[in-house]
Amino acid sequence: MPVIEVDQKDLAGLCKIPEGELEAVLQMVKASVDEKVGKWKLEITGDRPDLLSTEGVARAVLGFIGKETGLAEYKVEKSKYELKVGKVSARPYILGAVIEGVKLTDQLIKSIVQMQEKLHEGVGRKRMKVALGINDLDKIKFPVNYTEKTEEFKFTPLGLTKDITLKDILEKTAQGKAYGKLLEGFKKYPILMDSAGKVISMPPIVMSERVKIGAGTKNIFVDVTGTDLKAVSLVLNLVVSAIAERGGKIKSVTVGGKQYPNFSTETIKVSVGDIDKTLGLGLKEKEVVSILERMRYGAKALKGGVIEVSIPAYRGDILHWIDIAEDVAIGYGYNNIQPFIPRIGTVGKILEKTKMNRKAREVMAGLGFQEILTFVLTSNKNQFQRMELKGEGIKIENPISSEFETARAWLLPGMLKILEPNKHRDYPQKIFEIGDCVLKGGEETGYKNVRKIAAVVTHDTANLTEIKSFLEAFCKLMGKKIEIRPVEHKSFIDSRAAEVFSEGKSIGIFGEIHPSLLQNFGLEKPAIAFELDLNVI
Amino acid sequence: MELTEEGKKYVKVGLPERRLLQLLLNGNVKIVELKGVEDSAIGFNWAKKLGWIKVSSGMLELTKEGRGAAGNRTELEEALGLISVGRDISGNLLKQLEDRGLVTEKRKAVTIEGEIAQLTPEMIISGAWKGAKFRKYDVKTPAPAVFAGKMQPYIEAIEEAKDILVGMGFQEAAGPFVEEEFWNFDTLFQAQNHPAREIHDSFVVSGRGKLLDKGLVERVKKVHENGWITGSKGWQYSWSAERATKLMLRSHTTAVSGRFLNQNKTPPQKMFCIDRVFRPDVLDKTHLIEFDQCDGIVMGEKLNLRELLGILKEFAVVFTGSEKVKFIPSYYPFTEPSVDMAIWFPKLGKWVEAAGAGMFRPELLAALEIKNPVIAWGIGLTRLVMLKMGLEDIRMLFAEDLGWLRQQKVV
Repeated sequence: MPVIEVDQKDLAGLCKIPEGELEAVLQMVKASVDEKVGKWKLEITGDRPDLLSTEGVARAVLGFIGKETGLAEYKVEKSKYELKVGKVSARPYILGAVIEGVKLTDQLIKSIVQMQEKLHEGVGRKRMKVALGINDLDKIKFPVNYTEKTEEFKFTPLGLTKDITLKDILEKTAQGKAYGKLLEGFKKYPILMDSAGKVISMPPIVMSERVKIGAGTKNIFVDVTGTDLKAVSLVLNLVVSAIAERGGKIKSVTVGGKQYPNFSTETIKVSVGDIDKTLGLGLKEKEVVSILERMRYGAKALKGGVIEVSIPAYRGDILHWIDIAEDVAIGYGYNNIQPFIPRIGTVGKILEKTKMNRKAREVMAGLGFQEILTFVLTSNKNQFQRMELKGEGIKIENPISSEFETARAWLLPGMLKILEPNKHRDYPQKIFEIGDCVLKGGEETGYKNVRKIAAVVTHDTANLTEIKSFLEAFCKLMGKKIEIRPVEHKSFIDSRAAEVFSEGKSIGIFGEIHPSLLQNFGLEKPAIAFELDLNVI
Repeated sequence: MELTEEGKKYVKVGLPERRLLQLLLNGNVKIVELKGVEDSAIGFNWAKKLGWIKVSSGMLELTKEGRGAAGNRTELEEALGLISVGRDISGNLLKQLEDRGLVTEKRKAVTIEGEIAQLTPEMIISGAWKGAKFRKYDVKTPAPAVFAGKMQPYIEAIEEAKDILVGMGFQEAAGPFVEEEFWNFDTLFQAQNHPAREIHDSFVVSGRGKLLDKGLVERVKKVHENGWITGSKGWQYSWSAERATKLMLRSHTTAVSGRFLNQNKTPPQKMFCIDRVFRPDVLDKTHLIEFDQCDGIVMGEKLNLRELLGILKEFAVVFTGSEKVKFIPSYYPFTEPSVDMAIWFPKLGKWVEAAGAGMFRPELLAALEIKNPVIAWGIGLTRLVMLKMGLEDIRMLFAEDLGWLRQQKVV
């Protein structure tokens, strides 16, 4: 979930409530306070990019506490600003808007920059889908042109003092390195420039140093580019509406004959009955309308228990009436909902394999073994090389480290591994583990889970007879008839290993661990072990 | 060897069969009259075995062999005599005497010098302890530790959670670690370009799945692209079946819930799954890259948000013992309304977010052909157990330290 930093005094001021009451309210509108050291950090849920600014949060809070309800109105004054769109293969869509007479305080600048960053991350899918620029309008001569240029083209990107080529921007600047891959494979790159031929930005990489905003900026030009027109339009609305919450006049920018930003609202019809069935709160039509208005929707009761809901142009998350239903619950207040246990009669039960697990654990504990738990994720080195075997487990393509590059195929290696750090503990040491291993063979994915049990005993005189006694006791108590046949296995001493069969099928192995393994695992005492497939026991 | 009390008596008065023989030498005896004769039952049995006597119309009389035996001591009687004068015998005769309980193996004489330290079986049998002194022991002397065979405390907590859910009427389900993205994401209405599906949020496994349920694949495609029959807009993009075949280690047990619903489409249903999930992260005091999640679902003819909160609270109260819970608006791509539950831990003096929950979205239900509401939750069980056990480091639950494991009390 994205986290934004806000100045709590500033936010409380905008919300017109005391700072002390702010935290409880924020939690109830999907902007929970995550950290309160210094400036507050708010955790915003992934469906609400409109809350990624102090201004957006304030807009929601004002509604929730009933101080400003209904649709927030943003008047767009028609103007002559125009954005001409040429052919830009890498990033075909662009929209823009102008806000005049903005008081750019430090707080607002911080909020805007932060919003830009978070929108790039989330809705913008790391600038792939959408990227936006906030520019000083007064440095720009309209109409502006969205076009494309070859790599030799030069301008001064943000943070530098001289012109460099687009090629150098992509190859040498931090921004270029981070986002250059979005333009890979294209011969020409997107450039937004004004009618005087001066560059505004190179979307989605970097803007021009010349048009950056600062404390003296009064008028703003917002440009949004991307690969998905709907997302581009939503982001433009998100940004412009948030900035306009601080005052200023929104002026339209004409793109392809149409005026932007477009704050016209979509409507959706919801049934009070459906909402009530979903929430179980017994809400009447009037109450639903009033809650929706507090959630900053437009709401009009039609006939037959149907409400026509107007969705704010900055809300991109409403796919279905169920999304409106959730907002009704939020408006009602999650902390006001009385939990109720449903009366649905069903018979509870555990899986057969859980039953088996419980029996096996009881038997092993009764035999004096300590149960342990190790990770499923492990290394091929531990699973195979240290066991003097050749092989490889399933391949995780993006492991966080070579220690966790595969999922275990058997339990024994993980158990031997934990003996080393326990060398100073009292002997004898008797441990067992039951757990799922991943083996080849599933029909759908080619892999399947196999539940296994392994036991290890180590002390000065551990030998084959001892582990055979334990294995036989375990199988007998689990009601399993077994047959034992000698086997050669690199992990065990020659002639001191046996394969365990049941009904003619191999179900496991036991024996005396080979000293070369003891050496590989850094152990100094003899060790004996068994491992069985618990699925078939 | 030595004579038993019974053996000593017979040395004096003769074996019961000898005494019976003597009696019969005076004439036949009615069987019923034998009752009053000492040891006559034993005598009867042995004399019969030796062929000395026979029964004829209620009368007991000597056989020819019996008359022949009258003047001659048997080997057994000789042996008994020898033992009574301190001689040893062996072989079959000794065994017969032992079997009749007339002779026992002689115990070594046990003498105790000074005080008794360790009491031995010999001292007890010989009675040599009588009159001897026991060395005084200091009960406060430290004793060496012994270790019970026992179960892992974290797994015990998981089993407890299962029992609670079974008690609430839930049946257990399970699924594989290696999943298709299809079951982990697509079936759960998580858009293919959703940020949570990026490579750094789950472990990618080599290979491709087969998407076995073709009908479901078709329906999932439709709800993603345009909402299909649900009235939803859908995610408005072109859904790729190829993408859905990618393999991964499941990142939540909700994948199991999806599979369960696909097999169980009619109400009522209550299911839970407690099992391992995998997420790339930094391993530290509060994060693991694999942990156990507890997913649960309830399907009913009618179900609502209040009832979801009811179930969540019930489990939290029973499992953690904390009566105080709080519900917070949240977001999950597969549920709407969505909610997080925080539990108050009095010992920590803080709220801890413990569960994410919600009602499964209509798009998800339509794809799975479910016609009734389903409430669902996922609990990060590992973290909850850590808090319940009062641990500060989540890695302790997978502790390697036998010293620690051996000391954990059984709960």
